[in-house]
Order: sequence, then C-alpha cells, then structure tokens
Amino acid sequence: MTYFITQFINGLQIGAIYALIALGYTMVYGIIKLINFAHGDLMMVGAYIAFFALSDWGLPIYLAAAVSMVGTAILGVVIDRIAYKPLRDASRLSALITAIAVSLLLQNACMLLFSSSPRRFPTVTANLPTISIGNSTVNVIVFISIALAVALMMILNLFVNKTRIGKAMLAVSEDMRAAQLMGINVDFIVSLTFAIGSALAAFAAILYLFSYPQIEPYMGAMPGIKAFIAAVLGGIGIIPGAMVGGFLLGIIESMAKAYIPSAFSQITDAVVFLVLILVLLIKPSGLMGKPEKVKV
Amino acid sequence: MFFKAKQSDAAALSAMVPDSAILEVKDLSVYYGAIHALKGISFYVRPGEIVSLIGSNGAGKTTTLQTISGLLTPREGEILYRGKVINKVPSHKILQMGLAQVPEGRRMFTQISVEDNLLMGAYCNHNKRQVDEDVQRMYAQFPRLKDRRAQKAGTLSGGEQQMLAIARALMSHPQLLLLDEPSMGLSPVLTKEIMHIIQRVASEGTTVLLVEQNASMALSLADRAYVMETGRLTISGSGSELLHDPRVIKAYLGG
Repeated sequence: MTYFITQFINGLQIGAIYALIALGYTMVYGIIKLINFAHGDLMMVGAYIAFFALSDWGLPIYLAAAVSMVGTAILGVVIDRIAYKPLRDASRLSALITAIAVSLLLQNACMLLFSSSPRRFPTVTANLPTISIGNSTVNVIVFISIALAVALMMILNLFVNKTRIGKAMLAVSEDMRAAQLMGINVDFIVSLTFAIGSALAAFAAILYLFSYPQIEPYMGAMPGIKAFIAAVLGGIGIIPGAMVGGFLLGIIESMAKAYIPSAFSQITDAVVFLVLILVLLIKPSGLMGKPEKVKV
Repeated sequence: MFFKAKQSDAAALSAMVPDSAILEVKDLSVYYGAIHALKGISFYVRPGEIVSLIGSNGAGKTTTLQTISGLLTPREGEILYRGKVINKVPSHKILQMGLAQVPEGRRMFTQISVEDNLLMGAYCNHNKRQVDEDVQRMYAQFPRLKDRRAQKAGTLSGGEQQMLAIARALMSHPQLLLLDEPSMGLSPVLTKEIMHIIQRVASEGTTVLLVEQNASMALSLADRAYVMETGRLTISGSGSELLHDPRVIKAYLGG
C-alpha cells in the first residue's frame, strides 16, 4: 500500500509536468489548429536557459525560473512569427511539417552551441527535507512541484475564463473571423498564446530537472511527445482536458513502471503509447472533447 | 437588349454617388484564388439609409460584406468609409472606425455565456461603466437575452441567437451596421421580428447595409436596393421600385 501511495505521488509529479507541457500544445492547437511539434524542444531550450541562469550567472532558482520562462516565451513568439505565421492560410500539413523542421532546427542548434554531452543541472533541492510515508520517503520537492504546477494551472484558468483578454482567447479559438469582427487583434492573441504556452513549458522543464537533473539537446523529445498524448487524451484544444490528461497519463506511466517487472522495464513507454492508440480507437475527441460537429 | 439595359444601369449608378455617402464602394474586384467572385461592383450608402443587397446564393453578397469588414482583400477597386480608403485597414481596426458586422450564420461564441458574448462585442471599449450601461440597454431592448444571460450562447434558439448577434454588434455603437442574411433559417414570425429590430436600429440613427436572399423582406425594409448576380450589380433603385420591377418579381419574388 505504501508503495502504491508513493508511486501515485510520483505519478502526480510527472503528471503535473506533462500537464504543463500539454497546455502549450492544446492552447496553440485551439487557436491556430497547429500541432506544434517543436513544443517539447522549447521545453529543452527552457532547461538550458535555466541552467545558464543558475550556474553561469549565479541567480537564485526562482529568478532563474523567471528568466527561463521569459526567454522561452520570447523564443516561442519569434518562432510563430517567423515560421508559422506566413503559413496561416496554407494547408495544415504544410504547417505541421514546418513544426517538425523547427523541432529539428532547435535540437541541432542546441547541439552546435552546447554540444551533445549532457550537463548536470545543479542540485537546488539538497537541503530539503524528506517526508516518510510508511517505510519509504518522498522528497518535499515532489510536493512543492505538484503544488506549484497546480497553482499555475489555477491562475491560467482564472485568466482564461475571467479576464477580457482570456475570454478573447476563447473567442478566437472558437471562431477566428467572428472574433476579428469584434475588434479582437487575432495576431496579438496568437502571440500571447505562444508566449503563455512556451513559458509553461519552461516552468515544466525546471520541475522536470528537479527529478531528472540532466540537460541535453534531445531531452525535450520524450516529455514533449508524452505531453502531446496527454493533450489528445484530455481532448486537444480543451484547456481543462490538458490538465486532466497530463495527470492521468503521469499516474498511468508511474503505475506501469511500478508494477511491470523490471525485466520488461523497456515496455513502460509503450504503455503510454498504448493509451494514445486506445484514445484514438475509442474516443478520438478525447475525454473532455465533444464529438466533432460535421459541417453541412 | 436586356444585357445592355443592365450595363447602363450599373454605369448610371456609379455616376451619381453623393458627396455625403458614409460608405462608397468603387469598382471592387475580389478573387478566391482563380475564382473571380466580385467583378467590379460599385455602390454607396448614405447616412441614415437602409440599403439592401439582394441576390441568390453565390452571387457575392457575403463576399462584399467580408471585403468591407477587412476579412478579404480586394484585388482592385476601393472602399471608402466616411471618405477614407479602408481597403488595407485590418479587420479588427475597422470595427473601431464605427463599422460593425452581424455575420452570416450568426457566429455566436457558443462556449461562453450570453452576457460574455455581449461583452465581446464591446471588446474595444475600455470604459467599464459605459459597457455595463450598454449591456443593460441591450437587455431592455431584447428582454429574452436578459432571461438567458448566464446561459451558454450555444443553447439559444435560432431567433435568440440572431438577436444576440445583432445586440453584440450594437455593443460597439456602430455608425454603419452590416447585416448578412439575418433571416436565414428563421420562421416567418421571427423574420418579422428581426425586421422590426432592424427598423428600430435604423430609426435610432444607425445606417444599415442589409444583405438578404429573402428579397421581399429586404426590399420592403430598404430605402434603396441593389440586385446582385454572379459578382455584378445589375439593377438598382428604391426599395418600392424594385418590389414592382418585373425582372425582380420574376427572379426573386416568385412572380
């Protein structure tokens, strides 16, 4: 039972990270119907920025996090302006292929700049206490990570549902042309969406590094693809769906790791992809998605 | 002979644009890729008028309104609003110039409440007190919207949605209101109700450009009207002239 509880808590932690990244996928998809396959790599860039802010500039962790979030947000907006905006009226496939190209570009640029050898993220959690549950212990950073992620998601929810700009985001995601007729500057809303999504990815990167303190140019790929699955699981384009999907996927993965015999440990990632296949087979619109309306 | 008559009509119309026009469209050509959707149309709207554009499906009526609102860019020609060329003005700024549109098919934001839809219509107005007053004014004019203020707009009936679409557009205090097929999908009773609303809006000083397939409704409301056929304006005149024009009766009034 103790084992189950600790694994459940670990699942919540990784799930919170997936949820934060999934939000970026789902918000961008909601607005411009693009699966931004470079999103996981933005998380990687966020990790590098946080690393340099901590170790080279000697900033405290909360400032390093802020610098990383702002830097990644700017990068996300610039990528949209340069790579995606000219293709806004092109076919969705063109934009999708461009997103894959941006992903490769970011990975290879970081490899050139920072080399492919992994760097170790400074331990900022060494002096933190652990909490014992039965006969196992959980570092308090796990609880802090979950709490921070949940707090950030609550702020995002309030922003989207209660503020004028947030409601404008919902309006643009439902009907871009009607939103323009309301005087909403769609370009601004799209940029804002990329900025928020990218900042959340940077924040997720830092939470990720607390538990897996290795930074290398390909580190964004796996969390990125899993967060994408989380977004599809919850219903792509739906903000609460990304949150639910993220936590659910984290718990599923954690349980798979815990209860599949270690001889088959390679199989745990496959479990996550099996979730994607099942969603696509049973309810392609996702847990919180409504079935796609067929336009007459 | 018939064709010639149409040509001279169109020429006559662009020759007599009054200086006072609030909206003037000159030789407007719009393409969708290779499709020539608007083939050099010219017309004008004077302040305080109700002007109707009638025509069948695919004639280019919606294209005309979308181009005026900046959602489409014309290949040739000019759109003047209060004497200013607005061809290149982005659509979100056109609303701020006093030109609002009720789009075809109402285009509600179905996932947010009725009241939030109204507030979206006042997106550019930062005076919160005035926006609140405007919301109350809309509720006074459209009591049914007040009853449903907290409901999601997607749950409204077609007629209620059309009222909300008009109210939402009025939230920006437009000087010129473009209406695209407000009677679409509505029962005759509701169509009448929408007609009264349009008349009331016009009597309160808003200029109206109405696009309709329902010719009898559009012509009986209109001070002046134009007939649109495959991207061209072919007939023009006062509403009552067109109601009695044999060509219009034959093609659009089921005569």
